[in-house]
Amino acid sequence: MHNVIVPRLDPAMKTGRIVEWLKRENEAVRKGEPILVVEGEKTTFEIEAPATGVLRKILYTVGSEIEVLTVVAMIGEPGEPIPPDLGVVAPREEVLPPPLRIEKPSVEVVERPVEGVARASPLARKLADEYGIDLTTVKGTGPSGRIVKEDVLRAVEERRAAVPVAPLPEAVAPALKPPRIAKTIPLSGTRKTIAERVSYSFHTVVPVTVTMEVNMENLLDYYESIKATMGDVSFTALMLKAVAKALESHAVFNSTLDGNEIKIFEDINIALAINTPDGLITPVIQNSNKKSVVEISNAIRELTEKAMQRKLSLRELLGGTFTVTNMGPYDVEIFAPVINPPQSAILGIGRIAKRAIIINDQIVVKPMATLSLVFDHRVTDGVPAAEFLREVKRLLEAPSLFLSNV
Amino acid sequence: MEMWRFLDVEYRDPYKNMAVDEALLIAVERNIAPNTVRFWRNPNAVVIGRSQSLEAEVSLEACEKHGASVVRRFTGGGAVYQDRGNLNWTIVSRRDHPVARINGILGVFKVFSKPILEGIRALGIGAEFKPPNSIFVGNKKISGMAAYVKREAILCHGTLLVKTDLNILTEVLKPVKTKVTTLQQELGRQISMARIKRAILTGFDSVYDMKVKQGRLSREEVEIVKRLYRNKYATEEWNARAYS
Repeated sequence: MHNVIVPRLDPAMKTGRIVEWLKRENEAVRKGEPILVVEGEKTTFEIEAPATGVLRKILYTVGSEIEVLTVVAMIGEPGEPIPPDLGVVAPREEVLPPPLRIEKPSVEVVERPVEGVARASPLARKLADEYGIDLTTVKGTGPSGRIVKEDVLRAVEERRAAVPVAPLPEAVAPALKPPRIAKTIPLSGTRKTIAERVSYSFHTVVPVTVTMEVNMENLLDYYESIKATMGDVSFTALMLKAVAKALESHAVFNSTLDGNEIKIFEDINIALAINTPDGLITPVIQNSNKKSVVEISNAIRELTEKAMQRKLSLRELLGGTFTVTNMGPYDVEIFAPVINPPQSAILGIGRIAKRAIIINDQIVVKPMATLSLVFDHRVTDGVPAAEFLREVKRLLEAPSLFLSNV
Repeated sequence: MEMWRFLDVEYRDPYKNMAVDEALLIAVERNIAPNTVRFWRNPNAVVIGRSQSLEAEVSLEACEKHGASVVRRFTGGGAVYQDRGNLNWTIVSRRDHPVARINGILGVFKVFSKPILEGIRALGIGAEFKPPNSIFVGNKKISGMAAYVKREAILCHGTLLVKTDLNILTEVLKPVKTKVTTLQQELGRQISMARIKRAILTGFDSVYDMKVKQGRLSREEVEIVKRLYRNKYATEEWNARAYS
């Protein structure tokens, strides 16, 4: 028996509403065929059959509001018995957030149809919820004793006044004044986009960082030699090319987690983090693995110029499959960058600095850099991450392996 | 440079107009039509969300008084009033297209409304996208949108109030929760639909870095429109269906 669940299509999505069943019970369904229509987060979407068979059981009717990841139907063989404990079938992949009632006890109290229901306006309920006010203790002054916004705000004030404040030592007391605001910067444009994206990443991805030291001596030598013959080529382009090559053989880092499926991208489109006066942006170098170092270098230059002039088109910002961010020029050694959704991994490059290392039991000084790979643990594990990093290291330490045709 | 199809296809029958939008999504899903941008207008109609209750959202008396028809769309969201002073826009794309690779499903509104926003701004109006699915000028709404996601394709359509009769709007919809405005009200002068369409299509070019080329519905699409019209949009069963 296969469970049909309402997927979480957006981090903000908590529930979905069934608006139509496209199949009836015991009707044949093919894997991938839409079987029901759900509304959630202002969008309408179809849910497909996870398997071929017959729709053995529909658990919720049209109009039902369903928490995401709830099992709404079962697909099986014709006549296959339906498990008796349907109501407690738990989704396998994701942990459900606790039901709202547990988080918000005041709502539970007011919604319980016993013990005298407090009549309250939706706004009053929302405010009570935010401030943790028990509506059964609030006296309503609205029409027919309905609790309105003012009543809740009054209750908040009363509670604030009632909470005894511990006396504070004289010297500490002044510090409790709210800090004075020198300037207010609205969260808009690039800053706002960054805020939204990193929050999304923080709330969905399970990041793990692995780091590895790389001896950059050969790459630096190589860089000097190609600069002498080919002019100004970006060093970052060399690094990107190595990463793109390594991704060819470690494709799981060039993927996205889409519901219950890890989708490996066909193209390797590396997004490069660029610092601009407006904030960080990540334009994309399409098919990085198929481009020469010179082409990558030219692309980086063009994208950086456009970024500085705020002339990047949306197309140049979309479609990235993996991100590289280089904090080396800012003297950063090691850092754990935030994964750029919907991608599954990001590589941070630290500064190249001369360090004493031991080779063949001899202390030698070499230009070293630390790579930090942050990957989504839902998609893969530490060992594949280490193997991918080791491949990047191998290429960077022996540039002839990937730079045969610059 | 990549080309999307541009359709300037509208009918005087709001039910047929809605059938075209769904047909576009089906056709792009089946890979028998290219990614498409469409502009269209409805004559004097209230368009309600897929699962809305007719009686709760619409003053049927006011509709009767003003001769407005009521049509249920296949996307969710709230009821809107439309006349020929409102420009509807529809964008349908394959889901694997770079513009449709979005973070979370709510991202669709922000990404797909960008050309519209750019177009409005190019006309000299300081409009802002307001999450989850609106465009506002100051504290007044000028465009609302809804989306439908299929396995392979995604559709986002929205309104753009140009010179809609806001008096009728407030009469036929109950209750109007948000303040609304029109392009003409904001500009303080008349503006042609052609000019607005041009501004949006230019926005399309600058935001997505792609061109649009005027096209038409294919024979297969027309067949889908006819079928949807006959079996769905023109039926009382669909338009007056009740939801719990």
